[in-house]
Amino acid sequence: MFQIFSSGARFRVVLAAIVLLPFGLTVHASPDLKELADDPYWLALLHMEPRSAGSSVSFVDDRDFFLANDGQSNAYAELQATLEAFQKQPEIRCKYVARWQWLEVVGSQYLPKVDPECRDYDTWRAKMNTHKVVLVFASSYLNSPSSMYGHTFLRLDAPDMENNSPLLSYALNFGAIVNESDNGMLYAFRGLIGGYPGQFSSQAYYEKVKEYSRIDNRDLWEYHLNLNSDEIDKMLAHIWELNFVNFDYYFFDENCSLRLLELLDVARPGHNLGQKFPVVAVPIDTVRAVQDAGMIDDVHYRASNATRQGFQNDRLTVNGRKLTQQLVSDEMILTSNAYRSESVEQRQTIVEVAYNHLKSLQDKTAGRDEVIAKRRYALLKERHALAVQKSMQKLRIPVPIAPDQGHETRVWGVRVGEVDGEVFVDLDARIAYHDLLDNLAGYSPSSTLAMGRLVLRAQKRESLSIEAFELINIMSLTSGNQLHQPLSWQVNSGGQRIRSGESDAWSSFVNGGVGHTYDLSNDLKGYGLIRAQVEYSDLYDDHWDMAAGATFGLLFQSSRHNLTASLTHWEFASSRERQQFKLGYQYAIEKNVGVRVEWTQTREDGDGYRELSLSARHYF
Amino acid sequence: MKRLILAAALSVTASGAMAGAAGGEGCGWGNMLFEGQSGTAAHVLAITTNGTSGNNTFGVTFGTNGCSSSGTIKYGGKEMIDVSAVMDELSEDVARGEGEVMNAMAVSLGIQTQDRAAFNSAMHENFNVIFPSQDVTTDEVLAAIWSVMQQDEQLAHYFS
Repeated sequence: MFQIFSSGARFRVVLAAIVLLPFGLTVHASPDLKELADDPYWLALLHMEPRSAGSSVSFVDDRDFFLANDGQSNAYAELQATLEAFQKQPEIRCKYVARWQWLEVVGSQYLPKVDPECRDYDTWRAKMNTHKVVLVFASSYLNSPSSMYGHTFLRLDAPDMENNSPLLSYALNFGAIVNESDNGMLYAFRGLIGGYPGQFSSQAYYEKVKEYSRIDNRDLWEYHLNLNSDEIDKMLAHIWELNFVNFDYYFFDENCSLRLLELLDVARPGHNLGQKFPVVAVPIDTVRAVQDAGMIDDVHYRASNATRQGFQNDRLTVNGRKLTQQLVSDEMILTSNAYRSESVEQRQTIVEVAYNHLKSLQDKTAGRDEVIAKRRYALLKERHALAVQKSMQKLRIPVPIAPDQGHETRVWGVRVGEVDGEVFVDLDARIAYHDLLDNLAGYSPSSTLAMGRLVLRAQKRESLSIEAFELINIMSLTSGNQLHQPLSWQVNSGGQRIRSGESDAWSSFVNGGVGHTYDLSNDLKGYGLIRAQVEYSDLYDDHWDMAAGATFGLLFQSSRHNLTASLTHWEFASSRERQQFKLGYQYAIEKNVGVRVEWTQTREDGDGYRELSLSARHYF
Repeated sequence: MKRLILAAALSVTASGAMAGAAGGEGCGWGNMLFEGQSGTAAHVLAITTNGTSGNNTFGVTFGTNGCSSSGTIKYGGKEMIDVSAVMDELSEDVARGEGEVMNAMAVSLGIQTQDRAAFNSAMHENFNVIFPSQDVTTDEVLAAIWSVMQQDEQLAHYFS
């Protein structure tokens, strides 16, 4: 104790006091071990999730991470075991670098005087020469609205990025460790229910860009964080501790995004970002939380290959597009008069579009296609020859509204209307995410991803009842171009009240459809889908019924106005018929507020009824 | 002046023989241009798992997709960009005369800012030498790049 009185120790205490402030812990001459075990920072290092009645359990699902037998649910025991291990096996401090660093500041008296060198950590730390941390958000695949949930990972940039290359930065990703032998559906299912462990792993950023921008065709949004070097130090020390450590992986809640928030809580304590998503962690919501915590100072958009291809294609004349179609089947077109008579710029774009199409064809093919390879090479040689003549004009892509700036994930609304002459009031709420009429800014166009929707209706004659329930509703109306016509598709599962004459009853259904979508003008699309439905309702004699049908529709979307029109016809196995004509319009008043008008005319076996309504929607 | 450790050896010997030294088994140095990727099915369903694609996981201390770190080419003590992973993009950038991947390679080689333009020109002008056909392999490409650099007035000093 008399050490306290030496000037060196006094200086050390003052220094510790200054350094302690970021840890949010006030200085005691000798912090109690129990106090330390309750410290939010210690709990963050253990990834403890507070449960009921003051207890907490770690998200880590790995014996090797804990030094105490009950470390997973006992932060105090883990602290004691850690200190004991540090005393008895000093080299273990090279595994638990973050724990050691924290204890050095808040409880150095518990640590041994010997501080062994940690060569492996120092080597790795020098390699991860990180000056800036970037939170990268991968948005949806084209034609895959389910991927609208997105994915987040980190990029760790070295200093002097102006003269450096972000492609050489390291990416840090949390994802499921999957069994390659699992079949496709099992793979998807196990990801949802937690059948796989999750781990952190690191790759070069160019590998990630290849994976997302090229193979998956997802746009990347790079959110630059303002973490300082001290915060980066703390985060990296902890990432080292998580090497090969298993977590449970659950797509909805214990996912990539939650793990990254926990890392940020270690870097900059006080915001408790990891606690903000107890039920579901939708990736873009986690980006919003980081934004709200004031951690983002810049955002950079990286368009996917598919996005770039779309803009390149827009530069082509009608002839240019025809030539791309011919070129992808025959490289000798490069010698044709039709091609050679085009301007240098137009030829550059023709070659670019044809080449990129062949590249994506190869990427979808297992094994190297010799013909495609030969054709691509011919196009590259042509690109080279054209570039020598004239530098290729840089492609300017308009940067869309960033996804974190889009409307919030949940929505609730009040709807007033009339059906069959009767007035009603609805309460319409949905957990996630976005439909064709919702405010477009920040979202993928022509896509619906809706989950957990409930509509409650109140009418004069009737008591409050459930009008509709949507379990999951996905729709993708992607149009094509002269080279590529993707399938449009939809899947919908839920229930609704249907009326037939004087009676009405609940009907549960699952339906799906495929078809095509066409661009009619810049913002207007037309589509057609062939569909099938299975329905269950007490209203039917046999309760079950199946139907085949078709839907034709129009879709107009812009930053303020969205309009849908559709006509659906169903022919049931029981010889019933149903037609539905729908019109919908929404005006975006502001980011999180919209006004919607809907008109539906339904005809079921000759009996028709009409519903007209006006609703106000608030996203939150 | 930084030195390419294996440059001299590489520029003399062509393909196969150096594949072992450059990166070992599964390293991709023997990969040809325009190699296919695995089918999209796995990736579409990877939506719910977000695992890393195909490559072995090396945790956070990572290797370079299956290459042992002792086998990768070191330049100035740092590991060079794994060219086999970005061959297509490199060929596209070299044909065009500029691009992010070609720039990343220059940075990775330690080419200083004032020499980057010369590097881009040398690569662009020598497209046919570096990528003579669609069947060229990664180590052939690298050997050709070293050769081009050595013969360039402004870039030769990177080989002293």
